[in-house]
Order: sequence, then C-alpha cells, then structure tokens
Amino acid sequence: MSKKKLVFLLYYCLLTLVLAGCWDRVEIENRGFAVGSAIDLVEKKADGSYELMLTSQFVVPSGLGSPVQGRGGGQKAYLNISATGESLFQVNREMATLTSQVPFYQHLKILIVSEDVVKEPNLFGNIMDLFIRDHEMRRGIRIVIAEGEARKILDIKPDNEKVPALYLDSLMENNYKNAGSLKPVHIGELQELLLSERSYSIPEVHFADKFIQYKGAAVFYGVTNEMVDSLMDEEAKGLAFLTETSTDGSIKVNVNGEMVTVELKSVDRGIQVTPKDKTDIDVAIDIHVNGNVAERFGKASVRMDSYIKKVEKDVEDKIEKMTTQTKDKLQKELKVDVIGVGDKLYQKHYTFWNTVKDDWDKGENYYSQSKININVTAKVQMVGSSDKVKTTGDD
Amino acid sequence: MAARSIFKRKSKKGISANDENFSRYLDANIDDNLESIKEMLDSPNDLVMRRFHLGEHKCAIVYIDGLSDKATIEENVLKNLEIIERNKKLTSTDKPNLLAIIHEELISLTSIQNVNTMDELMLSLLSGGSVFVLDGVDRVLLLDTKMWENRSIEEPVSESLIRGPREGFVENLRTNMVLLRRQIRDPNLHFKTHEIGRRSKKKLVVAYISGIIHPDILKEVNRRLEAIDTDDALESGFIEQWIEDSFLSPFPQVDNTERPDKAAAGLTQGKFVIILDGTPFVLIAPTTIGNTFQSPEDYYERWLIGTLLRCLRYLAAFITMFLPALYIALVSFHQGMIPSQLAFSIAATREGVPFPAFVEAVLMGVTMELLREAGARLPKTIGQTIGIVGGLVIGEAAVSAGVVSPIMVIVVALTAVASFTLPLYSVAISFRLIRFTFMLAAAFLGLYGIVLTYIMINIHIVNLKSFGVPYSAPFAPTFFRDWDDLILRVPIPMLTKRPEYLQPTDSKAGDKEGKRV
Repeated sequence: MSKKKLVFLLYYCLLTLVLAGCWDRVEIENRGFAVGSAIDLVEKKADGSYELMLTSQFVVPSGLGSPVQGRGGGQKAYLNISATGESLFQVNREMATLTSQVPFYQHLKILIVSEDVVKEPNLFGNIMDLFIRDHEMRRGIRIVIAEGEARKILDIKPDNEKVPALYLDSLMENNYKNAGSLKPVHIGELQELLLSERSYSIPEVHFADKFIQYKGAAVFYGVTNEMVDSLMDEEAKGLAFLTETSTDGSIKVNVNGEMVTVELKSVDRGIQVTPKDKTDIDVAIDIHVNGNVAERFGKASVRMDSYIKKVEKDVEDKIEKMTTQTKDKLQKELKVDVIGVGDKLYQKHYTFWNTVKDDWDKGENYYSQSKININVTAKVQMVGSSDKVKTTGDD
Repeated sequence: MAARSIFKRKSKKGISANDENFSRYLDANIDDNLESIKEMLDSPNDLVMRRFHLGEHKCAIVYIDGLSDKATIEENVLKNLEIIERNKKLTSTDKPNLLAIIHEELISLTSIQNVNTMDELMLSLLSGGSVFVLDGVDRVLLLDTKMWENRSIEEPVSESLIRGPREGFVENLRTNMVLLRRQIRDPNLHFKTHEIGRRSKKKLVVAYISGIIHPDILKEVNRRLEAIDTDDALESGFIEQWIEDSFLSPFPQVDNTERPDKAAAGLTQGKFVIILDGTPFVLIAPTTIGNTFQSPEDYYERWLIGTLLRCLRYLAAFITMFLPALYIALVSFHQGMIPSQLAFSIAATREGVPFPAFVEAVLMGVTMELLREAGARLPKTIGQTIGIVGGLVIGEAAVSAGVVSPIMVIVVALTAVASFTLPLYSVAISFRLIRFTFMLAAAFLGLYGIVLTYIMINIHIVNLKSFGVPYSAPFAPTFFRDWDDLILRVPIPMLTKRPEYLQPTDSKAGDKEGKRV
C-alpha cells in the first residue's frame, strides 16, 4: 500500500470518530432535572390492568437563584408534570413531549407512592421495576408512602425550601437523625425486600393542612407486597425500637409526678429465637437504650442514684408498653413478620427454618403462634450540664 | 512499519563542511597573508591591521576591534616586542627562529598557538584572538586576547527559589564551567568539548562525573552531538531538539536549568550536563517524568514540606490537564455525577449562555493563553496592564455579558494558576497543550473520551526514552528503591543511593553528597 493511501485510511478512520461523536451530548441547561416523582392510581380497569398517573417534579434552576442574584425572584423553582398510562416508562416518554427539556432522572431524590397503589396486591412490586431497572435511576432514591393523593405532596409550599421534593428529602434525612422517625428506605434496599418474601415497613407521610408530617409507617405483607395497615405515632415509634438497631429520639416519662424527658443516644436491639416446636417458638427481644436527661421539671436532685434508677425504670416501662402494643398488632392482628423473627431463624436455625418457611407468615402462620417476650433495659448516662435549675417550686 | 516511514526524517544532503578557502595554508609573504585575510572578511572596518618593523623584519598584529582587549595587546605584546629593536642580536636571528623566540620568550600571554593554516587563523581571529604575522615565515602566532562584554552573575529569572543559591548561569561558557567546578571539586568532573555549527563554530561542553555516569549514556550523547549538522545553534534549545530521542513528542526529554546547584545535583546523580556558549540555559539529561515535578527547593526545605510540595505539584498537573475537560464532560454528558445542588446552580448560571460547554471552555482557554503570551512578551511595566485588562475586563465582562458562565471562569482561573506551579516551564507548556486534546476528547465522548486519551498519552509516555533511560521510570519499569525520591521525598540522611534507573557506575551517593534533584 502506498504511503498516500495509508494517510487517507488513517484520515477516514479518524472521521468515523467524528461521526459517532457527541451522541449522548445534552448540555446541562437542557436537562430537566426530576427530583421527585409521585405515583397515583387513576382507575382499576375491568381486565385487571391499572391506569396510573405519574407526576414528576422538575427543578427550574433559574428559580432557585444564584448567590449573586439573591434567592431568586418571584419565579417558581419547580414544575410538576403529570401524565397517565399503564406503562410508567411510556408515561415518562409522554411527559417529555410536555416539556421543552429532556427529562433526566439521575438526580431523582424521592419517590412518593400513594396508598391506593400499594394497597392493590402485587402492583407495588411491578411498578417498582422501572425505578430499579432503568439506568438513570439511582439506588439511593428514597421511597415514601403517602396517605391520599401522592402528587399533592409535590405541591406543598414550604417556607425554607423552594422545591417541595428537596424539602421532603431533607425532612426525612433530618427527622430520622434527630426526631426518632423511621429510617428512610432506599430503592436499593427495597429491591432486596421485594426479592425476598419478607414483610417490611416503609415510612409514610401525611398531608395535614398545608404541612406534611413524616411519621408513621406503612406495613407491607411480603408475599404480595401489598400494604396491610399503617402504624401511627406510638405504634410507629414502637416499630422503630423493634426494627432499628440504632435510633435517636426522646422518651417522656413522669417520675414522682414530675415530667422528665430522656434523650436517647443509642439503642441496641437483639433477638434470640429458641424453637422447640413448630407451634412453640420462644422469641426474646432485648432492647437496650442509653440516654441523657434532656429536660426535667421539679427541684429534686438528679444526681441521686435512686432517682436515676426510677427514671430508668419508667423509661423501660414506657418503651416496653410501646413495643408490646406494636408487637401485638403486628403479630396477632396483622400477622406479618416485620420485626424479622424469620430472618433470625434463617440465620441461626436454618434446618428448622426450612420446615416452617412455607408456613411462616402465611398459610399456617406459625409466626402468630410464637411467644414473643420483650425485655427492655435503660441506662441514663448523663444528666446534662446542671444538677438543679431551681430550689423552690410550686410542688 | 509503513506508518513510521511517513514521519521518517528526510535524508541529509551531503554538504562538505569546509569551504575551499578555509583549508588553505599560509603564505610566507606577509603582504599576501594580510591581503587574503582582508579579502576573506571583505575588509570590514572593525578589522585592525597594525604593521610595524622589528629591525628589518616586517610584521603585523591583526585583530578585530571590540572582540580583543587592546590593553592586553599593548602591555603584553607590543611593549615586549620593543626589546627586539634594542637587541641587535635578536634582529639578526633568522626568521623561523625569531618566531620561536617571540613565542617562547617575549610575549607574556598564557595561551599562544603556533599554526600554519588559514582555517585556524580565522577561527581564532573571529573569536577574539589576535594574530601575530612575521614576514618570511609561513606560520603565525595566535594570541589569546579575548575580551568580550559579559553579563555579571545574577539570580536566575525563570527559576526563582525562596531558599537556595542566588547565582545563575550566564552567557559565558567559561564562567558557567567555573560555576560548576565551584559546586563539585572532584577531579573526576570532566568536560568534553564539541564545536557546534558549521558557520557559528560555537563551543559546547559536555560535563559529567566519570565514575558515576553510565559509560553508554556518555557514548550516546557524544555520538548524537557529533551528528548535529546545523549552521548555528543560537540557544541550547537547538541542541535539545537535535539530540532528544523523540522530537515529535510533546514532552521534553531533556531538562534545562539556569541554576548551577540543580546542574551539579544532576551530575552527582549520574546525569550529564550540556553547556553551550552564549546561553545561560544548560541541559540536563537523561530525565524522566518524575523529574518534572521536582524543584531544588524540595531538598532545601524539610522533608515534610518537600513531600507536601511534590504532592501539590502532582495535583496541579492533574488540574492543568483535566479540569476543563472534566468540566465539559460533566456538564455536557454526565450531569448525574455532579452533586444535585451544584448541578442546579451550574444549570442556572449556564442558562442564557449561547455556547455549548466545549466552545465556552475553548474560548476561555484561548483567552487565557493569549493573556499569558501577551504578558510574557510585554515589558514588565506594561505587563501589569494585561493583568487588569484580562482579569477584570475580560473575566468580569464576559460573565456579565452572558458569554461564559461564572463556573467556567473559576475553572479557567484554577487551571491557569495550577499550570504556573509546575517548576519546569517547558513541561508546563506541554501540559497546557495536552489540555486542549483532553477538552476535544471530552467534547466528543465525555468521560469515556478523557479515559481513552489518557490511555493513549500513557502509552506514548511509556514508549519515550531519554538517552536510553525510560521516560516513565521509575514508575513504569518499576524501581521501588527510587520511590524514596519521587512523590515522597524522604529525609536527606536516608537518600544515600543514587537513582537506580540511571544505572550509575557508583551507586552509593556517599555520606555527604546525598543531595539529588
């Protein structure tokens, strides 16, 4: 081959690079960043298929404002677009025709699913497929169940944040860290839960008079992935103690008629399972909490051992009451193993587990027949920066 | 194989090194000799021919005004020759003997040559010597009366240090050799002289410490220096580009410096130094990519600071090469890799910018290079104006006008600052150049393109050699022992071995000469 031919060959090879180049290039300002999505049920058709509504919240960056321009003008910082259909992927594509930008889901923070959707058997698992399978979806997306219409959550107007989805995201993060709420569930964890037949819980938000409250838990039955009930307030707190190995939060008790609030610093939970027979399974749940005295009314010294002992005892009773209440509801009423007793059997007593696994929280439901005892120990580590705040009082 | 032939050097045309005139022998007649000197130089007006008589002998002193020291000629030559006039015995001596007597007894200069060719006469004359011609003898005396205007030793401008010697090389070859000898008083410090340039005939000296340097390296550099075929080497850059292994590569395979301490350190490591007459920049080779990130100051400060500075330079090199490319790739392709809040704020600032990120980056990159070039060319007093014009007017105005986004200005500024922290100017230029390749690749293929280009550049680097020493050593042919002075700079007392990749004949750096650059 002559030298000239070779140069041309090289040149053409380089040209192909240019032809293929830039095929995925979309400039950042042309991307529509979806930060939150909500799924609602429109109707259940006669043939058993479902008509779903997907609402996505897109960020309008100029509305966020830059530090130079101040925090934006009066412009709205988000844009909600809804579309309906059976396949969420097609709905998504349809959504692209409704906006001037290219929908982009890599920054998706939060997925809100309506209770109506998850109460249908098997539907939840099916619609999650897109959010797990699609390459744009990250495994860190947080899932939350909404009471009522999910897309309304994306329309709240928080005072400190401009984008509702981002507000909800930081709300979940901070509430979990500071207020003892349930740990947010990521879509990666959800896939594990969907793959196993284990029952589980997902945090729930409530829409209450212009505000959203992140408390409560939706309980799911692992076999059909349908929501069976939601736990509220005390029950949800009890669930947190039963399922989390670590949680923050506070416990308010009355000691000698005076209020004491204990701020929890650490929670250790252990489950011991002793299977004697299929219908006679002993489960011992040990919960150990450490905490500080955070607030206290009254004038007695907190540095007395007897007083501290009393506080600890009351905290133990209170937690025991909460957890027992939750346990009873889960075991006797709903008959779903959210606590994870089955997991322990699988890990520690595998041969026994094989004999009961088909009738654990389904069929014969050996789970509901087991004896679950809860034992709580509490320890007050610190009493705060001061012994007493006042010496005389009205008591 | 065929591809290589495209880039192959064209074969040199056979040109005879010397003209006919230059190899001519001298005549016995003084008038003929003087006439031919005049003729050859086309009788310039700075050519001084001082004819006089010593008794009955006609003779002359020839020199070029300005190149030779008149005072020396008067004091040490002419005054001494007057003795002949007074001594009748001398004037009656026959001519060849008289020349010998003058050579050996009368002229009080340290360097005198007795030659008989026009070639040698001309070289001496044009380099500042003066010629003593005696009638009736076909030989002349070349007197070393060189006296050129020299710059005094000053602080090196291009490589200033906070701590370290303040003296730098100058244009004078002899002074430069003295500076090196003052650093290393070892009889094994040898200087081998070459003559460069068919017409310029400049002196070039290869300095090395025999007993440390690997003999093959020395053999190779002498072979390459002899192969140089050029009219003139104006600066050591000419030599560098003639003798480096791969002159098409963007990476310089020969180090250069203005600092005698750095050159001396290279010598003690087992490298050689090339000093060319007429330039303060000496060449040090073999060099490796690791040397690019080293500055003499790393050794003068304590080891922790030295190590920290090294790490900082590696980071700076990374920023110089990759930052604009990464910006393009992230903004145009992989928006998911930017933290959400930052992504939104970049999107907000880029709203209204009419160009894609690549055009934006090239625009600012070119502007930056223009400013740098303008600043380097202008006199210092006007140079400051460029800073104001560039920084305020272009930077600020471009953002306000919405031509580029503020983030882009940060990227360009950071890149520019990072590129100036690299101690070797010639390498810093290469890195800045490669930056544009990365930007192009990022614009086409995003991060994938950056990775591809990075692999290609790495393949190139591991293929490079500097006088037989792999350019990527001690990284790629791994010499773990040399890693004590690579990214880390271990404490000086622990640096007792010379670098292994240079294969020194004497590997132990001794107790005191632990210093390496």
